[in-house]
Amino acid sequence: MATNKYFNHYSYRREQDLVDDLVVEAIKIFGHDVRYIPFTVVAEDPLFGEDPLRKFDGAEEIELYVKSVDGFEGEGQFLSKLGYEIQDSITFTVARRRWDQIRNTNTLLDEVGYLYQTESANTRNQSAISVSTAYANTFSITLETGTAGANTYSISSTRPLEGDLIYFPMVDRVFEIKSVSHEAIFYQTGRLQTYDLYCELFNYSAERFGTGNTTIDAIETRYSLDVLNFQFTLEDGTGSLLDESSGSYIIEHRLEDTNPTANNEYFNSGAVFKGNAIQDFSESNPFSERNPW
Amino acid sequence: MLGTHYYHGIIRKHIVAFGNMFNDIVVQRLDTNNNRVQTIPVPIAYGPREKFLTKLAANPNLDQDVAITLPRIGFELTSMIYVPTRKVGSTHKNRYTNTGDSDKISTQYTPVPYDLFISVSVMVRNYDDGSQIIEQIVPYFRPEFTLNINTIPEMGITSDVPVVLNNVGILDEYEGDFKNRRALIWSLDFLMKANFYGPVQTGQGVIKRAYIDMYANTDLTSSRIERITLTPGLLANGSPTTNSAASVAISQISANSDFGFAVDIGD
Repeated sequence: MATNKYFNHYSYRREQDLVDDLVVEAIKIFGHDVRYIPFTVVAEDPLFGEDPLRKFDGAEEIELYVKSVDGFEGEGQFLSKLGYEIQDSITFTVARRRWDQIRNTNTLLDEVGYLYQTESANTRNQSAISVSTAYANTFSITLETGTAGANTYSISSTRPLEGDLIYFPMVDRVFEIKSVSHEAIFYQTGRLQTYDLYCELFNYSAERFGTGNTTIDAIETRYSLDVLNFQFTLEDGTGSLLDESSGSYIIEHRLEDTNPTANNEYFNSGAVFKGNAIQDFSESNPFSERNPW
Repeated sequence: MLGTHYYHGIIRKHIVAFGNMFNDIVVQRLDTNNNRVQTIPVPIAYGPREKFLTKLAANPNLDQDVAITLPRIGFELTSMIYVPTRKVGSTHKNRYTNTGDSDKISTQYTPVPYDLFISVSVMVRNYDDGSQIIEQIVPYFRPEFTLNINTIPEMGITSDVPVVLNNVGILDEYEGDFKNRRALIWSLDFLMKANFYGPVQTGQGVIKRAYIDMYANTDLTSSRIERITLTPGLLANGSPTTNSAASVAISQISANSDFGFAVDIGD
């Protein structure tokens, strides 16, 4: 049994283009500008299937719609044996067309009679309902400053990827994409218009940021426990940098500065008791108090 | 309890000593050429704490950008159990001479043995981070590692406290829906063989002269036959002696002196 050939609900390209445009426009009206931060694999571990050294080197601006409009989901703030933790989650929606644009492909140029990246009419591939040159300036999509027609985007993946980050400036938080759903809106007019990005607040483990965005890169400065960030070596490999009064410019790294609830320093201090109550024992020799190995 | 206040901070000292063992664990991350790229000291904290103080310390301006920073170690004392096999005589006493007044001693009944059960959780983002941390801990426990804790300083008591690693478990919720958070937590169960001490009784005088009176029968109203006098003996040069006549006055002999015992028998 074939469907009625006189009704075409799922393969009429012009209507699909229209719905795409409406989705893009709606998200531009009701959405938020965020920074999409793709990860870079550095040293993938084939056994454990992880990359402890993964980096984040780019941050592209894109508009997303917050689908969970009533606030963050998840367990929120709580205290566990491991300390203070925030388990917020959020679901974003991004238009597939806009995703294709920020990843710098020519997909858009072939779909409608409008060149998104140059904001001009696509005379090579006119669409029956395309925006004409006369109305180009009223088109709703605004391109990122300085990127029109230029291949400057850092994103190369064909879709939003699990493991990428999203910096949400309004709430000043970084979310990690845990799951991407491409069929959340199920083939409206026969085409998929959006990706749903299910995200959780980022579990930070000294990942390195080099996005060029000072706000985002400051996350590493604030939270990273990597002591090599504090190393300082002169060109000749000797000495240390002193100011005019011979005071050191080098500031000793304190773990408690980065992690205020840690007890490392407290546990190492006998001064917490009167008269040095905890006797010294050598951790280099756990089997006796003398003759370290 | 029973009208006497005392607090030796034994639980606190054991918790601090326990945390001290793990306060300098480091995770290193290497690139594909085995060059060290990151060196990460692992924070450790005692888990139970006041909620509001923790939040004020961790997120005072409500501007924490991330959920949690990893890796980290948390631990807590979960329970205590009396251990009869380590019990010593209840009526025995520890005695200690006060350094300030050598004519006085402090006494204290023998301690009560308890095992303290401590649960340690190691939360990591990467499995390899957890492996590094665990491998820095496990080899030291065979199955115990003995700490030396200055338990009761006023009694001069330092305790060798074995810490036994009983179990290592892994919680890795990697299965299931992609929306579910992966929690990767190593759990280590320890017990510390602790002793709890009661109050210290101070200011008790040192007995420097003891008499033994001998009688011919049980009628104590009769005259004694002889008296045996036991005193500490110490020469002026600090050497012990059994000759009370050669000894310095007993008021000059302290409990810490290297004295001998002089026995004099008289009427």
